[in-house]
Amino acid sequence: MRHYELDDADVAVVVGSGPGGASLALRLARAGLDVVMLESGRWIDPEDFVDDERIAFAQLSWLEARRATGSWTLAHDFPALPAWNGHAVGGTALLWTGLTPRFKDHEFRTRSSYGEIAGASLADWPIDPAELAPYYAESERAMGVSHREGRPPMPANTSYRVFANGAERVGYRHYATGPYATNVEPYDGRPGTIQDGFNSQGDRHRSKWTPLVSEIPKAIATDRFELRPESHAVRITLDAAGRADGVEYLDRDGVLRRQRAALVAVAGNAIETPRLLLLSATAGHEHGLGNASDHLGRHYMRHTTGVVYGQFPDEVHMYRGENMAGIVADESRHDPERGFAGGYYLETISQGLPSFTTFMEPGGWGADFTARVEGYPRTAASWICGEDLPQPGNRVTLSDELVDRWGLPAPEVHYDDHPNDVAMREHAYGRVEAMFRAVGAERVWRAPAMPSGHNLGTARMSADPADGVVDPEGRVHGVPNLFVSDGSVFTTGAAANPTLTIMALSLRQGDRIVDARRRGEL
Amino acid sequence: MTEDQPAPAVPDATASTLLALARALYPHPGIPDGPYERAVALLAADAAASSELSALVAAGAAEAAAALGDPGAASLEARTAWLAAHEGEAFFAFVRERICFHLYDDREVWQLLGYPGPSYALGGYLHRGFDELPWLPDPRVEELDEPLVELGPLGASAASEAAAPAAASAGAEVTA
Repeated sequence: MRHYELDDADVAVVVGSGPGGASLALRLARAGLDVVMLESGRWIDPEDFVDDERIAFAQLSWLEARRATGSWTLAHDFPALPAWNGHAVGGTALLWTGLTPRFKDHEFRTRSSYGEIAGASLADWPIDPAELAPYYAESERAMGVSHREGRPPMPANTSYRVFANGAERVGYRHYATGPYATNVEPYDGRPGTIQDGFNSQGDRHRSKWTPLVSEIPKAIATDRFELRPESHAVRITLDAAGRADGVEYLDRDGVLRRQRAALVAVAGNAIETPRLLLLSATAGHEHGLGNASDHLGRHYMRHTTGVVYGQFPDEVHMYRGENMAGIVADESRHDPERGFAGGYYLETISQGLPSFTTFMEPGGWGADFTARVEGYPRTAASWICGEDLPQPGNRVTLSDELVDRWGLPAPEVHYDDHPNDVAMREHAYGRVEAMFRAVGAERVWRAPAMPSGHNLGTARMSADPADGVVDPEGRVHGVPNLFVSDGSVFTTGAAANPTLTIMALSLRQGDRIVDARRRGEL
Repeated sequence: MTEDQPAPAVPDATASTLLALARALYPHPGIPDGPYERAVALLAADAAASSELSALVAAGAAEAAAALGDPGAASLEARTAWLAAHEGEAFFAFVRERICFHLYDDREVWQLLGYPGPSYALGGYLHRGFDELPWLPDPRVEELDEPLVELGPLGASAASEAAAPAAASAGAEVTA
């Protein structure tokens, strides 16, 4: 692999190796830029992934100190784990399951589409959805998404058979096993799935798309790219002219290093990205980089979610096959007649016994709990993924008390449900219950949110610097060569699982950076 | 995690009280004492990491033993009632969470409850029933070749189909 010197001032430094950072890095390296990627986590070979929920959780998860506050159930159920992020090369994609719906056009214009909603900081995205369309198609190709461009659909596993039949019987029409970013057949040098059911444990088989098995090795092959794992960024430095000129990071031995940079892109996910920008406060940016407007860290979104479980007279064996290869899109529309703005998807979800007993009733115990545990082989489940509304008070801040292993202020994540979120969740719970009952469920029950895999909005995109943190290209307002390249930039969250949109935005941003570089602006 | 017995980290009396409470927290008549004993031993090892937790567990177990007499001989109802009366206290919270965590991570428990665990070495379920569900018809897996309604109510035909069974089920749920 190529090596760059710490004082090489002509490299692009990308912080974070998840979908946003890795897609950008590959784009830049292929265009001839020199790229250094700093990743806080380790490199783990896919063959070292472990098909065990508990072991893999400890191996892959971001487990540094964090705190959840607010009225959301996570602050009660999992106060030290507001989000479930990856902490290894490949980022949170190591944990993701792979559904890739695109945003709908109106979801880029929620302020115009939904109108004024009290308490919500709705805003229209400052970009044209039509401009993103080719990047969506390219992202689907990069991931090898099923159901697209002739790639076959994922076959139906047992969970999907329950879910889709239920959907059909309550009158839904738009159900399918994807689009799903895992190979059904060999594609892009990776094999088809063997339906082993451990997507969120990294996927030993490499059928699931992640940067670890795609963008990162491709970037290394350009010879214009250096990956530095176990390199935890702690501060972005600015020169006298106010341009980013380096990134300080702690290496695996805890030694503080500084990589000089021609430009910096931050892709640490919507908790670590605002944290790094806040930690980088300096003269002229006393409240953090890009925070002159006081939007940095605010408008945190995590989707309106919950899980409904159904138990049936006959066996389901939910652990068999792809963990989330099923989606119903009928309720993803915006239809205020339902009593809330925005829409939601219903998605299959399968859990092994350890996760099932952790999440199906957090804090539960007693004979009623164990009766449901004994019904595990006869259980199916569906996860709700709906648009939650941005609120300025839902935010990531630096803790006054908690510190991480490096002694830096830990992030606190405050989240209060908006009444719209509550109404949507109630509606969705009821619809899944109807689906499961329609195919014979003897018992259905509702479970609250799990720690968020979807984390969005804390460096929101705005045309006017007064309204957000980054411009329509993801460039931090006020720092012309500093970019954000992850879901933090989402102006609003839409109903869709976010990874596809994160990648599409990164590819678009990469093209803009390459153009600017050619014009001599970066 | 392992079926080897960790070294005992609490006195026998404490362990037997914790065992009696564990069986009341997560009562599975078909699961023998072995997995519960292992969960208690792992809980004790977790508590041993901190003097505060060790003291919490020792004091809570002593209080339960005092209230229940011989906890191992106390009825399930009596143990459940004691637990319910102490729900929300630190001892309960720690013991409940640790027992839940360790008990359902035990391989013998997996086997008894029908969770096979890792499948990769067996070739996954591609040829071992990932798609076997004989009690329902084969559903479509492709996306529907008609536009999705993105704004406003579902189309008239879809809406009427959707409303009837949904309303019936919702009613059943409310009265259940």
